[in-house]
Amino acid sequence: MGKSCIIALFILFFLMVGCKKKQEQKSLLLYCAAVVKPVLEEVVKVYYKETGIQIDLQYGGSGTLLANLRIAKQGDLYLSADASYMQQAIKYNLIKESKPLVAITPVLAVVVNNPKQIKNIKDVCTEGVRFGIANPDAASIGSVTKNMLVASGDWDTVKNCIYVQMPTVSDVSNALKLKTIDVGVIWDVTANQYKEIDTVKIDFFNEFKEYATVGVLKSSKQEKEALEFMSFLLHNAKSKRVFKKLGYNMY
Amino acid sequence: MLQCIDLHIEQGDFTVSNINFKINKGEYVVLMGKTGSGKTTIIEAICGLRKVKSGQVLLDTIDVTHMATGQREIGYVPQDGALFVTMTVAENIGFALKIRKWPKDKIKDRVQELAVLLGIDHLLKRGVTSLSGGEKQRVALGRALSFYPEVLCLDEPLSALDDTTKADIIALLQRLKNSLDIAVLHISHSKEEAKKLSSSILHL
Amino acid sequence: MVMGIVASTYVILILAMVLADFFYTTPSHIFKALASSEIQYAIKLSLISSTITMVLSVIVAIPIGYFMARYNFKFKKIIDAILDIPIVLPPLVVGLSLLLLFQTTFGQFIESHLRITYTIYAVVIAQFMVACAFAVRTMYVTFSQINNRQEQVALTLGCNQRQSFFYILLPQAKSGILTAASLAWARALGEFGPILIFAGATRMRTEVLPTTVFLEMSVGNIEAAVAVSLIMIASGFLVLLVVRLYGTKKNTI
Repeated sequence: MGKSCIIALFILFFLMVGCKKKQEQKSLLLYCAAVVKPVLEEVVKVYYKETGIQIDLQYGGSGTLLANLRIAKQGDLYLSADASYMQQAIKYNLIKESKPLVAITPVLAVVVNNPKQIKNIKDVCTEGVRFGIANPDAASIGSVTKNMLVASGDWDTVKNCIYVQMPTVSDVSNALKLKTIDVGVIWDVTANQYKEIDTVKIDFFNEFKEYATVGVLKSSKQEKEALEFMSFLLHNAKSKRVFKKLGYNMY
Repeated sequence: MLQCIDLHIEQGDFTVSNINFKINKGEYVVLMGKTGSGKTTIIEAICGLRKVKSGQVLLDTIDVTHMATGQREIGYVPQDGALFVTMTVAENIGFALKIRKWPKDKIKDRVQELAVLLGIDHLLKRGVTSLSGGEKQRVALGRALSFYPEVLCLDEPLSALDDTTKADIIALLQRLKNSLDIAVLHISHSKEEAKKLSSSILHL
Repeated sequence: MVMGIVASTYVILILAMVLADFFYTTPSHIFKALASSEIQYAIKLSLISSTITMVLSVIVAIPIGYFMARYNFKFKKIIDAILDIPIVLPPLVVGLSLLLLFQTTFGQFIESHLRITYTIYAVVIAQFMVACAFAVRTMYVTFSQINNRQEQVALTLGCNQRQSFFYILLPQAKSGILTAASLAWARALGEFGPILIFAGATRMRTEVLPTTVFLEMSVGNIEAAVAVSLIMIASGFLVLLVVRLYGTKKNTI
């Protein structure tokens, strides 16, 4: 009984090491902001077909990911939703080289067909309207939301109308899809991915256009491969086609 | 008076049937039988802890066969004592009276009376887990007698005791038999016990 | 010998984990964390919601544990398995399922009277769904291990089922109830995944301590995150320890 247990454990370990091997055969780890998740998933597939190199994506809010890679000091690439997080990463001496990738603009997003008749930012304070934003501390869109509203002078009123804060742009979008909120601030490119989400035009939002930025990490042990992937992402025609297909405007 | 008429008990594959006996007030009956012959099953059926398939259990003239356990007013001392471990000796003995909503001082008097009768008045404040085997049996007896039952059922009360203690308890039971005017059903597999205590012996 | 090594390795690993947190922080970080009004709110909400969850869990777990341990009925095995679902489910699934539940007609009916989703009520419900499963399991085992002889004797002494339960069984289950309560409390304190989805991560509203750790990490404030982690470790350990000591003391008397 004891012996067979030990043997079974040994076999399991062996299998696990096997899994790890498979993972290690030429793979890169990319910390990826939630906003570019749909497009990165596609590009990674294309890249694997082309080169046989597997890109593992770890998703999260830009801030969350930055904290992770600060502690873990592992991985090869970081893709932040806006340049400010990349600036922070550079400040922490984590980045070898970085380039802006795609333009993203915040939008006021509503449930499809706008049942609550939201026309401008003040409407989020209407009785019965549930307004959700990404957490200003966790996600790029969250801090952009706050900055925009502070700049426009609406923050002090609007902040009391916030019904819920969520960790990433995807969570806000999912909440709109599930109709657990009525209105939220998300990226235009994320709104494009959801047929259940419509957007309301708010002029001053456009001034806060951001660039999702990709960078190679100093911690990378496969710097050459990481740089190659970055250049594929930025310049390769196939990659550009994917971005275009999913409605992302490249830098 | 306790009477069983054509008592038939089924419990999985095990059946006990054709049980007929009558114990009058003041009688002390020892029911004998081998292990596995269903002695405990019969006592549990009488006390209402086991469903009866057919037949009747009568207390005096009342049919209690399907009466709720708590309403039968039968004193029961199980084999293992099964004292209430979270209570003191006094609380154990007074429990049935507390349930019957007796006033506190009356309960205290009754408990004291029984404790003297059973020779455990010095133990009243103790918890029950630290008692010796003989002491435990005395407490269990006191608890079963507290509410003046007409019938007392004892399930092998002596089997787990050493010889000296056994003799003490036998002497106690003899005393109770003479001083209390109740019907007693006592289960045992020892002829010696039966001889010393019984007014009549039943074999299963 | 081998068993000793295996056992001590695990204990050492646990302690090493906590020590690693300790070395990453200083008392000043902890005091700074404690001074922040967001963190004070999170501590308050965490303690209150965990305590409510604990009480609810015990109230629900005692009858369920009792029926499971003392009665046989049809589909008992299936119900037994259902009771374990919250333990088996990944936290995210619990959160998502709750979110969807409150979008159904039934859920919307409740929401129309009392807003649940993304509020502090959602925090308690998310904690309760998981914590209660642990409490139920504990009470089930507790009641199963208590022989029903004493209850039977109590019945012959004039009790009804309810009285024998309250006077005889429940006092014997005291240490089991304490264990169930502390387990539920500790689970509730550490609950994160379902809360994040079902209650959101709104600062000063639905932010509990695990959310604080998450948010502080997101802004790169790892020192504060570790400080809050230590606060949680300390309070969790304290509660479990007090319960253990109190529980065993009562038992040996």
